Amino acid sequence: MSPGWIKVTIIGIYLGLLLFLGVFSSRLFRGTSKDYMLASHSIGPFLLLMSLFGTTMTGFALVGSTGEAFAEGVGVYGMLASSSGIIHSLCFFVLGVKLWSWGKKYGYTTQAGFFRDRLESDKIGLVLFPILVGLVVPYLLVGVISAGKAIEGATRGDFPGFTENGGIPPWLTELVICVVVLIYVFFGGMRRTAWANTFQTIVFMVLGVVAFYLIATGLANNSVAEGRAHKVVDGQRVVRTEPPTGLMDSLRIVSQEIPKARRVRAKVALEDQLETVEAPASLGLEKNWTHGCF
Amino acid sequence: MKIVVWGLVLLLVILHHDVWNWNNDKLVFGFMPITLAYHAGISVAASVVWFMATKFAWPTDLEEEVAHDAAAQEASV
Repeated sequence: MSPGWIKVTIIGIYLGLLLFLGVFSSRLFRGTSKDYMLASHSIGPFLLLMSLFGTTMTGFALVGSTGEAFAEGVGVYGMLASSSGIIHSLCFFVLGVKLWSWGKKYGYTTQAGFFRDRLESDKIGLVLFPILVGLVVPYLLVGVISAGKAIEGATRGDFPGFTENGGIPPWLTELVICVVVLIYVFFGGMRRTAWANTFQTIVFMVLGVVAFYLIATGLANNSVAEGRAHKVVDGQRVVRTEPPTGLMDSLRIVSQEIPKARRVRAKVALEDQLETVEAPASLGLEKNWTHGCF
Repeated sequence: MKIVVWGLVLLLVILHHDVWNWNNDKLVFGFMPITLAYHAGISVAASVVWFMATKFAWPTDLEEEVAHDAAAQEASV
């Protein structure tokens, strides 16, 4: 089997498992709208944690911020990741718990329902619905587009003649992803979504560690083989010829190749840092509404 | 204790803006840029602070209110 078809098979098995999980969890469906939208409030702490983590690990986090960090340097982590750790939780703590209690008390299942009741206007619900859907669409599109780009890059050259660069075209990946997600969301609701997210989170965490190890050691080996690695002997910088001895040694070799501008935060201004507090805040608010609260 | 937790949250927000580190290119453990290591530390500190928040500043009154309402609803059915 060619490398391209091996990759397609692995991706196919992964998507197949997602669908299988969806079918399996749908056996627990109780046939009510509350169960469809909220899994009858039955999502426990583990599923909620995994589900939220999986939702956060979108194309934006896995592909977008990684690319941004490659271009701009380590400051991207400070702008996006550590601020999310503070602001997402703050949104949950200040708003999430309160909204959850109102959701339970008054039976709210959607944001539009909450505002319609709170502002005592049916029309506000009609106005809010398209606005809220419109705000979610770009966020979802980022995930779909990045999946297409990632698979195109991973399969580049594997299918010569199929496309110009020999990779799987983004539109095909995006179509398949949308169909799979639509199947498990439409037919299973929130419970299926939570189960699928949990499965994906476990896969991301395990494969993330494996990928980190393989990429770091691979880059270090290349660096030594191509004569770019160096060491200091008697105060002199000399080319290193010994292969890396483990993960820590590999990391040290790889870190030599990070340009100084990306090791410091030369490309991140204070205004960027302050402005990006808003991004995790808005994301945190969105997750409050869509996940933990109602 | 609630005040301590909120004080720590405020402290985290302030410490997050580590402008004093921005031009420091030192590598921690020989491979990790210091500003990245600093923010990894901020992330870990945030998880500790929010864990403390759930222990010492959790709005238990809201949970009790919901539980009370649910019990009252069940009783009326």
